[in-house]
Amino acid sequence: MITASVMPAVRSAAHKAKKLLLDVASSLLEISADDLLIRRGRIRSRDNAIDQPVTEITKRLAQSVLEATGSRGLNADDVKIQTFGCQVAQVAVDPAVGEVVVEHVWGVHDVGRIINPLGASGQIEGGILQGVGYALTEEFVVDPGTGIPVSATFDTYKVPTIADSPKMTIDFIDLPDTNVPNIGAKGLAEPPIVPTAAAIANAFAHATGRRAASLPLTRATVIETLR
Amino acid sequence: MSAYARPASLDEALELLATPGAAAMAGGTDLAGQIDSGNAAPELLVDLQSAGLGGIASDGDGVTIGATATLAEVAESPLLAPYPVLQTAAGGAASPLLRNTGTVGGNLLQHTRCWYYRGIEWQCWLGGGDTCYAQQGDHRKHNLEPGDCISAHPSDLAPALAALGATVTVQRSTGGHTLDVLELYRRPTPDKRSLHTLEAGSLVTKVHLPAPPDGSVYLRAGERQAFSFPLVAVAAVRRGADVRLVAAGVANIPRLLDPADPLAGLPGHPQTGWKRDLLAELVRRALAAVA
Repeated sequence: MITASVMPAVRSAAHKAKKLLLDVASSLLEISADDLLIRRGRIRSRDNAIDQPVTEITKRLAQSVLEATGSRGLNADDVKIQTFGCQVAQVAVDPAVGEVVVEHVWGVHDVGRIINPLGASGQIEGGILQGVGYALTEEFVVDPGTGIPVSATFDTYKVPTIADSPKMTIDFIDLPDTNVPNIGAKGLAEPPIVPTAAAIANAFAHATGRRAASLPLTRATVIETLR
Repeated sequence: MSAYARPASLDEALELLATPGAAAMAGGTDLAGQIDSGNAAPELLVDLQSAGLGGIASDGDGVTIGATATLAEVAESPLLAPYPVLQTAAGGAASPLLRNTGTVGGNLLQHTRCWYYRGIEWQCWLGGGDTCYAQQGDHRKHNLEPGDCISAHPSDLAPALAALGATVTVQRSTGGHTLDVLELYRRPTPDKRSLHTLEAGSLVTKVHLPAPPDGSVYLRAGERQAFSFPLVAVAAVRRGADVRLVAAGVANIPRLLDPADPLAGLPGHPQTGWKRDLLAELVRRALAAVA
């Protein structure tokens, strides 16, 4: 959600800052701002007579700072912004010892425009691994007599390790959602967590013919479910 | 606040350990947790890392392992390659960081992971209180044996060494003796809530392995693919037609099993019946692997 909520404001502020920079360049270079372009760190006139690094301008600003602010507009009243995604899990079950191994998870998500592909894939990877923990190992256990949590440390509350991480295949639709102000990007961090555990539990049912009534699929749960 | 000493010899270590309130510290990976949870409050920490108790060496037909040899050293030593049961057990314990720190002696003498025993809110029977909270509470990961305490023993090395018929040398300032690995353990009793037979001031100094077996295997079932104590583990060692089976996670202490009836004396508790199924299957696989 950070990208979806903050990036439109950043983009708007950056746009204004660029305009300020062009105005400064216009007076220093004695050329109309409309005839100047900024591309890949260089400032250039439309007729190419001027072509120099932006830093040639900014170093003449000395201690002055170009300041601009931006904000994100409201979502349209009559539209609800939704993300969409699909995940598939492949598991291997060793029934006699109650072991479930998640071998491969595929995740394809429509979260609008992808701004940073590596960062976006990382969000999906992290979400899938959180889902693997939800499905296989993470369990908040409370003493039934007192209500005191007994799984209160990382010794007893088991999050997945890298050894538990499945192979992941990740892709995005990468179409800007025109209902989202300014950049067309939607929230991403949580959507990949949501379907992972369900996909793993469904794969477990497909593999064994039995459906577990609760998560996580610990050895105890698996052995009792398959008994 | 504890005082700290780093003796430079075994004799010096034994002299320091004879002080009341002294505790031996090797890697410290279990002791630190025990201090954090209030189960231990040593007045003097006797750090053994300079006491000359490390190393792995051939010894006649067998191998001698120093008590402060690390789990990583045991897992990787070429001298121990003829003992797959031990190298698998050492290499599967904990995580690489802990295996580089944790020692053979410390692994054998570690305390249970019972979440009531370890939890700071509870003063359980094993910790000197009146109640085994696990029996009336959540004991899904506990043992299979009836008793005042139903905690499970977590050591990976103990079953492997016990199945191999290893012996342990114990020293104190007044002398030393050698015992079988399983003789290092006892079930806790109302008058002595301890899982081992060591007297105060005693130290495990080394472990001796007899000649390599004809076949051996260590099978463990953890809570995830790495960095988990075993829920149940089985060590099987075959010499000729004789198979010795020892399990972790099913009793207060490492448990010798009868290959013909491995579940004997292990009826389980209301929430641990699944461990019987798991134990039976691991025994089946272990016996097949060493046959």
